[in-house]
Amino acid sequence: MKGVDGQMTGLWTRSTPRSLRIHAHRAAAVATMVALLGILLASGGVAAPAPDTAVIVQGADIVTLEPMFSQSLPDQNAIIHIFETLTRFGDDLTLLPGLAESWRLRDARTWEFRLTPGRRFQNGEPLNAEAVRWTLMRGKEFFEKKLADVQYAYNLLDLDTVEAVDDVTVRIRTKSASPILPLHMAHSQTAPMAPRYTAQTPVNTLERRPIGSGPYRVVEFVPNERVVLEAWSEHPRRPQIRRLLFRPVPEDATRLAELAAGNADIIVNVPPDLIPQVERNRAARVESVPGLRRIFIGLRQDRHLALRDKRVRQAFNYAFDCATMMRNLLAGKGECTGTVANVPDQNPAVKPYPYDQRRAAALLDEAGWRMNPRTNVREQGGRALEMGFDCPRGRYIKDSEICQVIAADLAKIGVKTDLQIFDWSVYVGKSARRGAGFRDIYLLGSGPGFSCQADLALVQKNSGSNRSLFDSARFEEIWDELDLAFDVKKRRDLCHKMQEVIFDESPLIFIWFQTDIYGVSQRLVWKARVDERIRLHDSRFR
Amino acid sequence: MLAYLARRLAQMLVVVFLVSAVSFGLLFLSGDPTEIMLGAAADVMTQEQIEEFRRARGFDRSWPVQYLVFIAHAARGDFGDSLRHKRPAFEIVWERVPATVQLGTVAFLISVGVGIPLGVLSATRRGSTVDAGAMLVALLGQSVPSFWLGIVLIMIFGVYLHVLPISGRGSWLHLIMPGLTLAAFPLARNARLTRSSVLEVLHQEYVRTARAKGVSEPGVVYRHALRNALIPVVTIIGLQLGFLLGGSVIVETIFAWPGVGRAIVSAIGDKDFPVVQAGVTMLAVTFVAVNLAVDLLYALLNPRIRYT
Repeated sequence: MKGVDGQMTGLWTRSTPRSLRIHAHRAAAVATMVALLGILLASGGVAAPAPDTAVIVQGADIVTLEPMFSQSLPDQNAIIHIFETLTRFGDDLTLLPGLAESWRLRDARTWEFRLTPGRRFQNGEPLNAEAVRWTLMRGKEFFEKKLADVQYAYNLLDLDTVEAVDDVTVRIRTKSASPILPLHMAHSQTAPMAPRYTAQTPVNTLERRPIGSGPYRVVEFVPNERVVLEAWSEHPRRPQIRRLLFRPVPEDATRLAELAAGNADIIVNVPPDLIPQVERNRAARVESVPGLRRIFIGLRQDRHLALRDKRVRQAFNYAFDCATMMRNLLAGKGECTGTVANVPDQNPAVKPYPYDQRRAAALLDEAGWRMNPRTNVREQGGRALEMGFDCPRGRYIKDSEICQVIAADLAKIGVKTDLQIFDWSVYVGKSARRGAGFRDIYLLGSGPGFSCQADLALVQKNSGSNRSLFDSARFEEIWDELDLAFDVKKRRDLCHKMQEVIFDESPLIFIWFQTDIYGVSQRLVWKARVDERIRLHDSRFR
Repeated sequence: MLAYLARRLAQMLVVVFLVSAVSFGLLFLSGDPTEIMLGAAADVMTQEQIEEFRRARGFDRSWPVQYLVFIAHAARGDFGDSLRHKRPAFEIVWERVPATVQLGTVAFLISVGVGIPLGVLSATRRGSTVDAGAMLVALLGQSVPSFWLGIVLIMIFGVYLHVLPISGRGSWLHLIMPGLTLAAFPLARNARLTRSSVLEVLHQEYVRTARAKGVSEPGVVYRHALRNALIPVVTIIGLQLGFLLGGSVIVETIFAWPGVGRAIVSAIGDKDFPVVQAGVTMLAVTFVAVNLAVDLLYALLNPRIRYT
């Protein structure tokens, strides 16, 4: 348009009226924008996920696929599709056969597992008793040398020796009696690994290209971006979905947008207040399930005199209006509880404490804490019923809001709290050394122990996770009995009894089993599991 | 010039040293690093095992000794192993640099390529609707928080129009929304600064002379006025470059962009202090190095500047 010395040429000249030039500029700008949008639209926009690929959008990156090097949930969700374990948990957490078709107790310290014959790893190596022995001894060695991330699993396993009796029989001997060893065999850190491949492959490669025996094998691992798994055609139970794509998206709103746009089939951690947003989308639905993470308020026994009195602890539970909180704060997506044992060990007779402020007040009166009408705070011998209340923010669903509700409920019965809310990175330091950094009461969550005894260790006197420093003779007596019980029914009865004791003694304010909330595309047939694992072995597209 | 360079390098070292001190201090701000790093894992460890962990990480030594060891290692790019990844922390951060540079470059090009012409347009059409519109865009760009803008773009282009990918890294289309979001603030600043600078220059004598000589209006603006008006703008652009290449924690998190900023955020969540330290130090070094480079390039644009 411009000639020598900037003179306008062609149709657009200096003699062109100014208004016309302005119109031309505007028209050109609009045309450019329309053209850009047109190019985007013409490019076909964003490709929807392939019809044979399920897209799982998690909150964090997958770091490793090597089962012994991982404890994080995003890793585990991929690992459980690549590896199999000797036993596994069903949807209701009952123990089911995995690679082992049966198991039996030989003596108090020895278990024998019989493997399904003829199984192979994805690279053709035989999956036999020797492979199981090799894997467990590798884990034991890592544990003893403090390598990898096996500390938790192999500490519980307490392995002594592992023997391959024949091609399909493995004998596992522990250092002490281990009634729940088959439960530990469902942990992915005990998943058999292909010995030859694993021994010959550098760790970096193992982390990205592991060889398992599961229904999927790894086809792509782009760190921080995506992991793609493909159905393994030689697996005895070939899955119906051909490909699984795992992607990390840390921001809640972005994950929801991916679901709304049809780019995701499963998104994790939908905040309760955003559930209506998912439900408005006809192509998606909400799947929620009470998880295994116990959320509670610990009541320290070693700091405030009042908390040593069972009646005060019970009063705190009666004063907490849990049901209203569930309805208003957590969109009704949770259930209050009166226990800290997970399914399937929960005692059905133990119900949540009812909301009863009058009963709470009566218990405090009975314990000698009388209301001062001037301050609305209870007192005993001139000492006010005041306590420090510590709470994390951003670690559990609505954690700081739950604390505020409980502080308000306690205030109604004359208990004054000094609530302090901390970022999780600070809070976690307070929780160390059996909660040495906590003041009188504190909110905490605890993941599943996958056995009644491990779950109830939260209040066992010698347990590191007993941050309330609770010590009950009644409870310890049953605990010791359980230590030596192998009979399944007897173990369950003892477990139920312990829950009754805990309910009565109230070393905690019971809150809930944190609900796991997922957004799921309507095309996917999938149900949320209580153990937070996203398992797609039996899923399919509609 | 050499003396100036030496002085600036010395200043840069001081800044990096101070940042390293802050980065080291991060570890102790929230309490005993051993307890924070172990967290719930300490529940199944004996006191001896906990003390062994403390010794292995050197946390049993005095602060000055720990700091000197930290500096000596950090100077070699050794920030220790990531607690989560079990690999060198520096490696974790370094492998994210290409993504951050890619996004930062796109945002930089948008902020300069759109911001400066917008400012010129606004100045040459002062008082018009175009001026008002351009300045409204600039005002919004500076006042709208990036997390809000990012989500709005996602809803419009990702969810409703379905023309752009919402998150992640892949094709050039993946760069558009995060690039625009990251560019919004510097673009607005460039536009406003260019406008005021061009307006100021347009009243200078030499501009009047150029007009009197019969130079066309575009010639006056682009050849005479803009070159001089750009000097303050270039200063700001230099600072922006460091900021944009340093990565944006918020934008990378919203768009799941696998850059340095997101690595730092997730490391904070994981209590992975070596990665946080490596990331913070690397960002600081990038920022001061880019600023130094820009200052040195300044002379090429403005021969009146002499380094003393």
